[in-house]
Amino acid sequence: MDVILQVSELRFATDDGVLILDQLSFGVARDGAALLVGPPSSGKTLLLKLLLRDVSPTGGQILMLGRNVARLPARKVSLLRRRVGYMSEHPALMHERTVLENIEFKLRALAAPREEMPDLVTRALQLAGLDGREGTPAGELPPVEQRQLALALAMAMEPPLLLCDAPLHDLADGDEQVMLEILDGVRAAGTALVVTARTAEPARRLLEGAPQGVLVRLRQEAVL
Amino acid sequence: MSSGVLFIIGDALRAMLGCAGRWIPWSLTMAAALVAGAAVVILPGEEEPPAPATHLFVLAYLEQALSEEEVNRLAWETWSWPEVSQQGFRFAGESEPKDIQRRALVLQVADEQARVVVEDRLHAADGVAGVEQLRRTVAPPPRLPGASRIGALVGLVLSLAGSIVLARWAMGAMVSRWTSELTLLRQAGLQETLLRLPFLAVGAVAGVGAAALYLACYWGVRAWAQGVPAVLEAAPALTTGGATATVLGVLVAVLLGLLGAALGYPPRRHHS
Repeated sequence: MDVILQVSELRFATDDGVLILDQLSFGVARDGAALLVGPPSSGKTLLLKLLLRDVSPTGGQILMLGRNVARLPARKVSLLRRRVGYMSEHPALMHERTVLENIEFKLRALAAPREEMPDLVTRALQLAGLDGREGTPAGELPPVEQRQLALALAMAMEPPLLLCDAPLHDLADGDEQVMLEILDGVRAAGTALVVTARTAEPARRLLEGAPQGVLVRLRQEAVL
Repeated sequence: MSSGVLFIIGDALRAMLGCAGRWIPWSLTMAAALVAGAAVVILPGEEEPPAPATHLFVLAYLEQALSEEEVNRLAWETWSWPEVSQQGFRFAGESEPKDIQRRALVLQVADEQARVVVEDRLHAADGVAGVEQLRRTVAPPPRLPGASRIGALVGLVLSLAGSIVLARWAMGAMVSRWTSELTLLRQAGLQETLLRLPFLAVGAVAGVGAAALYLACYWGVRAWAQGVPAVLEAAPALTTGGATATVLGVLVAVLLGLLGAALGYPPRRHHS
């Protein structure tokens, strides 16, 4: 299995000694998906922050894109972060800018080559199912499309790995299905997924389509 | 500098235009600090008021029949006397140092003793029809009250403190206007030092605005003072060091802007 992310015996305790993650291990294949399931405050978002080196683990190891995340110097963490798509539970959208301007902002800020920019924008819009919505201000999009725009932003630089924090949270049933289809499409296009959810259903569908799907249940008694 | 950084800086400067109501007062207080700082340097310090000066003159009225050659010989002779500090010819109709009725040689001497000596010599000299002494008291140059420099110093401190407060106010507005962009860039992995750059650029631009205001004030006052001798006498430093005042003013203004931006930039907030 060609592994893009390997978490081994990961441990995280707060400064007060509260153990939140203990001996957590799982791997994600390059074309695979991992679903991190747990109730609120079980450490799902924390785990994504650990993967992004927003916080450092107390113990264990994270190998991502061939790098030992915990040991990377700050400058290299920044470079690694640019190669990982991240969709926050509370996405940062520029509400006064249009869908197109949002994506272009990120691409230009990350110094994407000018000649590649139109193709990158087109592919991000298609992948996120936002074709035809380019000129709509982000603030005028319905909730599910705002989530789609967040996904388009996360995928704009075509990262090999996408971390999605609660992408289905607070969406209506129909919208959940739309989002799941889009995420399925992202994975099918060759991007590995790490998705968090409070319950295994309906997100389990992401694992069914993936050749290497992993369901990780986080301990329920953790308090953040 | 990468195109990404330049783009971010440009975008932040555009956002800055949207909060002009905040950074214009900030620029104004920085300009006020620069003007007050310049005033502290230019205004003379507290010193003993100079006494009025007394100038002593001896006027030698020349005989009408004196030839030019004899006049010149007399002038060379008087100029060789060590008691004479200045001398010059005056003609009928002139009014300095007093109204002149006929041709005269005016000699300025340092003190009373020198006057007596010079008068005696002139009485004995050929071609001198009459001798007259003149004593004139000259008022000291005008002085600005000592409190003006203290006032400038107080103004400098207040405007500096005000500029820091207004910098935080302006940068707060800037950050809230640019919050989504900041969060997006942080989530995209941009380093914190890089994210500070657009805010520092905003500070530098506000500083340049302050420098422009300061230079307008400085050169405006300088040009105005050229026509007011009393101001030039009271603050002679106003007419010197224009290039230094300009370069220093711009540098200090930009540094003030950068400092305000650095102090006004909020600490990192972790995204949830």
